Amino acid sequence: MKLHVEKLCKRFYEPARGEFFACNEISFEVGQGEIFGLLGPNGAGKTTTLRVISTILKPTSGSAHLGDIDIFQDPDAARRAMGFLSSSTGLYERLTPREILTYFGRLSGVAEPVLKEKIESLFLALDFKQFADARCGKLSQGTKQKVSIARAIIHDPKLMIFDEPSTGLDVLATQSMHEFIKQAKGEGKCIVFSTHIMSEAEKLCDRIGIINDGKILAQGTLAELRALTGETYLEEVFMALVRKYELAK
Amino acid sequence: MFKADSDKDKSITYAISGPPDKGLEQIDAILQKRKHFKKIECTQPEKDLTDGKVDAIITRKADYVELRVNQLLKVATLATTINDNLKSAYLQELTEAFASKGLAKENSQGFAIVSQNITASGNTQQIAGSSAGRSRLNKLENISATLCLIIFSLLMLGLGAAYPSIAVTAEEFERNTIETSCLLPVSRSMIMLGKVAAVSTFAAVSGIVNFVSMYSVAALVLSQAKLFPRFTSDHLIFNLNVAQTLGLVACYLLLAVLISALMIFATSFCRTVRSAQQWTTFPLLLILLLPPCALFPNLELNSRMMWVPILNCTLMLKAVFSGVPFNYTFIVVILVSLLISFIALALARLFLFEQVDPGSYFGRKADSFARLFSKKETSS
Repeated sequence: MKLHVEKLCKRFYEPARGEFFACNEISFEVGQGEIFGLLGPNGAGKTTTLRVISTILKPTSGSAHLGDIDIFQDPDAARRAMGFLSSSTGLYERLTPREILTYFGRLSGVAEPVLKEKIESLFLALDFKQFADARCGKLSQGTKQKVSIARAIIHDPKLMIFDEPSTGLDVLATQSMHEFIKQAKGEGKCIVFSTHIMSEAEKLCDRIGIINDGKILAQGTLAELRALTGETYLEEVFMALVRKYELAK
Repeated sequence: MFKADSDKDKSITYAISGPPDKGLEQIDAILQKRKHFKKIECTQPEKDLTDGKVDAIITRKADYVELRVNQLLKVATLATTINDNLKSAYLQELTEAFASKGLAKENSQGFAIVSQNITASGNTQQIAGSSAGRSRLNKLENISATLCLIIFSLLMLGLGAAYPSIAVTAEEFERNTIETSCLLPVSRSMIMLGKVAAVSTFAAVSGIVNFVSMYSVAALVLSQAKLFPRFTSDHLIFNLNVAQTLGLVACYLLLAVLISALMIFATSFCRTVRSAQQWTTFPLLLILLLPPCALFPNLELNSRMMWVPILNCTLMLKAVFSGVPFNYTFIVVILVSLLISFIALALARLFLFEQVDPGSYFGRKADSFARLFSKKETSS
């Protein structure tokens, strides 16, 4: 299953700024078993782009297809096939991880016997079985993030969207998160990943889209981006592209 | 626990005087079906009535049927306690039984069928022979301790809806769990339906538990203590048939849905629990003020009152409790309540989900509106 995003625009309004585009004609493709990274500074439009693709926000214009599914025309079908994880997504604090996974699994249409097995396997895979019956409000940030990951993938989605998933995590939890993303890639999932951490993008992504001011400045493999800018390190590649854009503006 | 006390005064004894008559047999058959009417045989009806051995005598006259009632019943204008009002209600049923069979003699003042002995010498005074008298009986009938408790429990129903409605709206934003709801593969209308179903259930359960609690305490106090000599535990007895009971439950659930929808709407544009708590004051005020108005004796469900939200539901509840048959005003009340609930939920959906999306036209409006009540930014 392939994600195809075409000229995606999202306009916002704020009294202080007036109307502005948080993402402007964003286009990219992500194939099966591929990790596509959206790399950009804070406020570049990464989160908005991912929230539009995940149907939390409606696009101003543009289209997105996941295989045969038109994401904006048939959002229910699209949501069945995708999992979205954001560092800011909250959990119901009075529920336990087991209850949360059961709740979301049922609402996502996972059959009851399969659901129980799936929950147990996620506890083991993400290594938080000892917290399975503790209330989410009492869990550490890292464990909460693991619960969020499990919640996002409980229905075995084909497309996984991660919006700065390592924000607020310590080194061990971040490492664990990276391992999980690589494992998902190995299972043939289509993964879109946003970050502002260069090393993370360099380590995980097959292809990278540099985003700034709501626009994708360049996209390709790391080697292609190096060739495009003549720089060696991703940080330098990023700065070169941003400077070029600022000058052109 | 209260049965022995209540049964003493509960039944109205009646006797049929004179030769067998088809009309009298019909009335007798109707009364036999009512548990609070008890037929007794009298050899000297007039004397037994005067002596208080029988409450009512039904006699066939030339062109109408006469009902003579013992003075001890103290119906209508003499009624001072709820117990008397219950008896008034039974008497009302009796007169209606007459009228329904066409046996009543109608004169310029209304139905001239009910008379009451007021002295031992047998003088009679017409007390409910006019339509005005019947109307008075209707109003008195409406005031019942049980009905009061049901209506007071609506206040708890409102409170029961307040906190869950905050939890499913403003708290979702405060904890940022609204995103996870938006990611579920179900439509947003279904999510709203789930929210209102949850809040309504909480509200109805709160109200019912509160009613049962108040009812139990009141019954215990009235049966065990002699603090209120004019009130006895039989004031709390339900005289409702199955249809009335189901009607009451339906009214209660309708109110639960309506109040929950209004609560969800009032909290949907708040982004913090604190501001939502402040905004629930307005629907709570409505719930505190409107339902108790239904206890006014002159206030009935009619073609004007059926358009007043919340109050119309409470008046419908009162009407069902009083045994008013199903009529078009009930349908209007149900439709008005459901329409208001629908509008409130549609607006709540707009505020809840469009504000997640401040790029859309409605989202922008909702966002501007919400900024008045919360400093939390919603656009990323």
